[in-house]
Amino acid sequence: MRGLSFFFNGQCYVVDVSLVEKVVRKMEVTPVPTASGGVVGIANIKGKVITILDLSELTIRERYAVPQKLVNVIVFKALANHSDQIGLVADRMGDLIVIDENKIAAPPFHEEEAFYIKGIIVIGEVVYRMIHIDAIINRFKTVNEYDTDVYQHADAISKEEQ
Amino acid sequence: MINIDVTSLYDDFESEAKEHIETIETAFLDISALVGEDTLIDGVFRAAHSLKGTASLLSLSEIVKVAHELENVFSRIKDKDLTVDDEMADVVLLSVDTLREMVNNLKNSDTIDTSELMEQLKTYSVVYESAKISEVPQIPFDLNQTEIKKLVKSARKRGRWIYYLNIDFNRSLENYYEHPKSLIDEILSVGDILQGIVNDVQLDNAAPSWTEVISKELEKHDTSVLSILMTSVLQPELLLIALELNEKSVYSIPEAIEVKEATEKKIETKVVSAEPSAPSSNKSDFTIRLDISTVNGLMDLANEMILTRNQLLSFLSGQYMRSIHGLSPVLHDMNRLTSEIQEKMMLTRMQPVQTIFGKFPRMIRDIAKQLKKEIRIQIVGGDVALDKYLLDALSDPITQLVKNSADHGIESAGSRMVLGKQPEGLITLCAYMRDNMAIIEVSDDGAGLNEEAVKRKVLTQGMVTEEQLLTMNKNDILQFIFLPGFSTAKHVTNVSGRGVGMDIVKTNIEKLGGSVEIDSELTIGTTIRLKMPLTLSVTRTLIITIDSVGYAVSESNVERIIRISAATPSRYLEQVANSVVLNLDGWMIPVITMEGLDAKASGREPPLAQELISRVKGQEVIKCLVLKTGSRYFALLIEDALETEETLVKPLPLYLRNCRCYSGVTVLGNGKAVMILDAEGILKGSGMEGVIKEDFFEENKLDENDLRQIVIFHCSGPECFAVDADRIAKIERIDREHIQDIGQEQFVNIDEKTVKVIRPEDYVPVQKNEYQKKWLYLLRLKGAGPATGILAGKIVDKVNETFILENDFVENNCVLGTGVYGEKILVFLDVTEIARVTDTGVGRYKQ
Repeated sequence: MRGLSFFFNGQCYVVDVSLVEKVVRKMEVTPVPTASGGVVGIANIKGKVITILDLSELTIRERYAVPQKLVNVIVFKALANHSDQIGLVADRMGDLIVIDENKIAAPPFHEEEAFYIKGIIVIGEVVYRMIHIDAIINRFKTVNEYDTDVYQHADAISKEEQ
Repeated sequence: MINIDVTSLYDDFESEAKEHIETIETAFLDISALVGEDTLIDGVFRAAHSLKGTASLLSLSEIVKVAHELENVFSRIKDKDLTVDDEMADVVLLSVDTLREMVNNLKNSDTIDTSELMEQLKTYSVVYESAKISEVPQIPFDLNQTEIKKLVKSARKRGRWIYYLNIDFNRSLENYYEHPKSLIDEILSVGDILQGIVNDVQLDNAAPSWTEVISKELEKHDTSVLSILMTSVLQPELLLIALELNEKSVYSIPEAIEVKEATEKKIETKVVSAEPSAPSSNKSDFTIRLDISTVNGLMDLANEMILTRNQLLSFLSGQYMRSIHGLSPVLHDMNRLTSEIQEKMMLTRMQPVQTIFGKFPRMIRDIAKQLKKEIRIQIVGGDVALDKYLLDALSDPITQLVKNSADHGIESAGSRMVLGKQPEGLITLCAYMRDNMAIIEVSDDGAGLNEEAVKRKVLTQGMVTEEQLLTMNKNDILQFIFLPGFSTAKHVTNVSGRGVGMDIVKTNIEKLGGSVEIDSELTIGTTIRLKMPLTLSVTRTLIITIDSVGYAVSESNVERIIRISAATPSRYLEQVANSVVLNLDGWMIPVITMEGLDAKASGREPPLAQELISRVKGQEVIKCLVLKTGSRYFALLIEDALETEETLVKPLPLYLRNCRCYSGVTVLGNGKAVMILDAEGILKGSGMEGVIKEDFFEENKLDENDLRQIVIFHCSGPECFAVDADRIAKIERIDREHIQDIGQEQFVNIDEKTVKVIRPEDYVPVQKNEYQKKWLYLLRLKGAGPATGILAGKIVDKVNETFILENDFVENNCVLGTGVYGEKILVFLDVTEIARVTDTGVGRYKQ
């Protein structure tokens, strides 16, 4: 299994390269105010509008200020059941590494906390955090579904009031 | 040609045949328009002919039979031998149906019984039939012989024609009689001989040459018949001239024969002098059929190209741009081209609503006959373009509604007369765009929905109680007709009335995110309105920026763009409690900021109103967009309004569904993905109410041209002029020295076209100086009249602005008024008036 490594907020991560469609450097991202934390914005790739996420909400628990307008983005392939593609912001792209699947260690912390990390790989002195992209997508999806319901509920209430 | 994939051939035939069938159908639906309309009759004749031609290629014998008979009937109409009447139209339409049935089931088309239809058709075509039976010669060559087949095929590939020459040496060879050799030489000089037969003796090309072999054989007899199979690059007409032969001796062998050969051992040739040998429909020169996935693929590519272009631009900007000489104009051109390609590509998916409306006249005609009613159908807005996907999904619901209108809506002629209505009922199909929605209305002037009947029905079916019914208004009650199993029709007819239709209509429309409305008055009529969101369709949007981020907002939501500055004392921002309102000529409109919305969404404290006001007061000019949703108005603080653009609306990505202030996303011509603002969502998200005023802006509008996009320019003097951008077709840069005087007028040649040059200084009391600069600008005017353009020394700007025009300062017919733009006073020119004055010469201002 081969992994694509990248750096975000000073930490090193790795994703399964077979899930990656392409890497776009210096991509122009259009910010989307009012979107839930973690959504950096949207971008046009091959005519498809994809949502660009970053790990800030998950790692540093606050809104990550996009350091510049042009960012490096790892675009993921459309996953089964998700027609909308996503891209993940990387501060800096790393190397392509070969991962021995037997050597992926379970994350040494509470699962709830780090649901987005599949495991830890140590190669030499570098610690790679393996990203669980499915979990991240599902998280964003549920956040949005939940909120939508809240809105519908609010709508229903306001209608009753009228 | 023989190794063609048969399935794809069938597919091609199917779509082509459907076009032809439709042509015939459309023509015969309105026979009053058909009578005496030669081009229409020609059209149907050609359609039948092409249909027959292609069908015979595929050995679809039944289709050939019907098409052939139709062709005969049309030919008689064409020759004014037969007049079109209702009865005949019925027979033709019946054949159209039969043909369609056969085409839809090509594999088994021969099993459909057409004998009865043929009998009917023959009553119209029979005279023609006996008059025109011509014999076609048999080709003495075996085109299926491997050697010949190979030769013919390779000749076809090289674009050659295949001919069969049949020369009787006693009659048709005056010129060559003495020298048959020279004929053969002539033939060899314009093409190749594949095979030759003299008096049934097949010749071999073994011995020295064709010339030798053939002339030797010919010399053996006094009279002989020479048959030659040859290929040539020459067209039939030219071949006749080249060989000086008469047209009875030369036959072109159509490609069809070779394909047919494979399936059927029958040979047919076509006389050269007849129609062009390849059956081709006229339409195919102008339209092509494309698979939707091809279009989508192209669209993706166009978009990707834009992205790459943008990356290139961003890499090259800065030092490289300056160090490579001439790079900038090339990049500029590329920029423009890619944007244009993308825009055009977006439009390819769009199709006019007419594509689904088009089938209704026929349907109504049939239903009317069946129900013995008189019904006319009227179509409005058939050119409104919607995405193919949306159109496909709308087809069935609309059909159902039209059927309902015809069946239940329109009364019989008798009962209409009693009510004092025209005996002929009217069904109107209407499509238009409003408020970011595509609206399709199906209305009739029939009986209307009986509210009482609906009430009784819901009560008997136990859907609601009487008390509940009392609290409902009329619209609520009428909505019941969309419930499954609901029909107030007394009888179930063939057309409708089983109570499944309306239910399906509503479910389908709601699946597409739309809604259904009903208006109905007893005895006056019913209108059913389908409101479809423009997802996946093109809409005109205004592109704005807020904090340097681009957004699109549907033009239908934009009421006005307001500029607030020290120079506009009648409009300013004010604080009311902790919110900001825009005081616009005495009307208070709540102001919403994107910053505030974002803060609210992420649970932060929104910026204080006071802060906001003091901040904007520091700026020279503030811009607001007055948006409207329904009858509510509010203002959105923006940085700038850039331009309007046709955009393809895409649905919101899954991860942004909870952002209520957007209705979708789109990719702009420059490749940027932007959010489309949703006025209603913004208002809801802000927690504000918005002002309600039905005709708020109509009252206040000083001038219908208040909100406009204008081009600002200088002429030779210091004055600043403005014209409506709508009136300008193009701005051209021209060389001063190219302007030529002809009499009193000045002209310039642009792209080999003479354009009249107008100098505003001649029409308006302003300074007129001679231009010193080499490059000037010509604002080419739109319009059908002679090509004219306004000469400008310098183009200052193109802006979207709100102007209140003053008419007190300059009194001149060619001036609309003056307006204030920043520091400058703009003179708004009345282009229409100037163009009129230029044409007539009356009213020209004398310096």
